[in-house]
Amino acid sequence: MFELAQIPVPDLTDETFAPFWQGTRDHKLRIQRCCDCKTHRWPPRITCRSCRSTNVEWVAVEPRGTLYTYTIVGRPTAKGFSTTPYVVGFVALDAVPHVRIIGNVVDVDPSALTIGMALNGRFVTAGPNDEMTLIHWSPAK
Amino acid sequence: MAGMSMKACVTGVGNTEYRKQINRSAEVLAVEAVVAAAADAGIDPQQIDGLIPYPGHIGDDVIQAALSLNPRFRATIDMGGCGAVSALRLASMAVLSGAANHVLLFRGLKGSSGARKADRPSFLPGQPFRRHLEYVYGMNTPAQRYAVLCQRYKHEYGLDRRTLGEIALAARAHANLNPIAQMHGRDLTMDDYLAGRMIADPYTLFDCCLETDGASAVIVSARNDARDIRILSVAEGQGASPDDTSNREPFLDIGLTQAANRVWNDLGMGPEDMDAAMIYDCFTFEVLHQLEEAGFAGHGEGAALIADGGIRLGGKLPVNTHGGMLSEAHQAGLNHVVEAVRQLRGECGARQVENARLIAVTGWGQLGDGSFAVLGGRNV
Ligand SMILES: [Zn+2]
Repeated sequence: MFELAQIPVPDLTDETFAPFWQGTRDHKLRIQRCCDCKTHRWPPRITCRSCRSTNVEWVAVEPRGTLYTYTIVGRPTAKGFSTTPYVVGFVALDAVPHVRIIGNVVDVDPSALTIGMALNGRFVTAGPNDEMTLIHWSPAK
Repeated sequence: MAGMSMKACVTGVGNTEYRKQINRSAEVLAVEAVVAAAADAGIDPQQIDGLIPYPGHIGDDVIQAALSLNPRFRATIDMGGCGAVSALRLASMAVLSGAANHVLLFRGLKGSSGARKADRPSFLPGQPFRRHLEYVYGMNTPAQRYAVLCQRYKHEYGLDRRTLGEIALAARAHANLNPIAQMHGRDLTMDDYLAGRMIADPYTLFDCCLETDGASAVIVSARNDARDIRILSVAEGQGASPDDTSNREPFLDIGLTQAANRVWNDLGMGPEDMDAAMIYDCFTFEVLHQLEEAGFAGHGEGAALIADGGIRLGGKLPVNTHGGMLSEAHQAGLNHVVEAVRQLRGECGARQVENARLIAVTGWGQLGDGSFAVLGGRNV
């Protein structure tokens, strides 16, 4: 349903995001964790909002979660997304519920979406040369 | 006591026509609105000695040159739709400190005939988040970003589509009493609303604000003449994680919550004292959301205020009597200030709020910035 090859690729070497994109390429969902107070954080930031430490590590978490909120896009607005409707969801991770990951929710009739439904992430290559790996979320079986 | 201390005043307001397409440049439109606002204030445009432009949208040097302005105070506020009300605050500080006598706020927009929303440069903060986390999943418009807020609210508190519909219909009913409104003369029924095509669920066509060609201007002065409208109190606030909404906690927290509390505390007044409210209505739910965050209704109780004509003229709290951005014009919130001033002067004819003395105005933009003002008429 998406034209994955046409989705614009951000700068995958951007220092704030490179560890994340390297993770998805390896089929891992990696988020930031403070080395000092161990608080997970997302989206990636230069400091820990709990203790102000700048010491950060990237840790892999299971790509499982629940749908926190979503929208069903009814009108094409973005390159690579000319077929509507499609769903953009915010997924609260089971492992770290205060972390929400944005992604497309697939394999479900949009009218059957419910907030709180369990979702599993899977890794999908995209971009003109398959240079980035995105995460798509489908209902947990 | 609010009335006792020195207050800055809005002394002039002006606007062009508001239409879907006007074949004049944004700068030409802005000049027309500025000249109208100066005439309304009873000053020559050259007496304007302070400028607060709307960044990124118009060449404000062009306006300055076109009108031979010679400002001694000039500042931009990079807060999107929050900026109109925030600018009232900065302008007040400028004129009360002596930095300027007459500060001009203006908007000149080619919202409708310019580039499509998704193709325009984004002025949102956190651009890396937008590029790395949102665009790659086809999320790139305001409607989509705001839809997820509404969807979550719906889950937490419940929300009938007809409540959103009533917000759109109330705006349209007001616009139909306002000859300058872009949608004047175009009725909107609940059936029309419910049949609107899907933009970003739960938002359909009539949940989304207009795109407008047109301009507006407001002059804030260190002057307190009979016709001047006092800025009784104005404040700002920022949502938690102001560059990102996805991981904000609480998710529905916006800067307005703090801004409104600051104003209520400053004035020793509350929502019940207001005769009307001009709410930044980029989308229908944002009216309900802000009514709750500013204290006009408790959390989850906005729908009860909106029901039974509560936000229409003659209701408990008339909201956006000009038609707002949903039905008058998109002026990034400046037209809300213009309307509050005209209401407090009693100039609104068929849509006049009877004996309007105190009006609240909100601003909302840039993913979390909120601003709140209470303006007072002469009889306060
Ligand atoms: Zn920490």
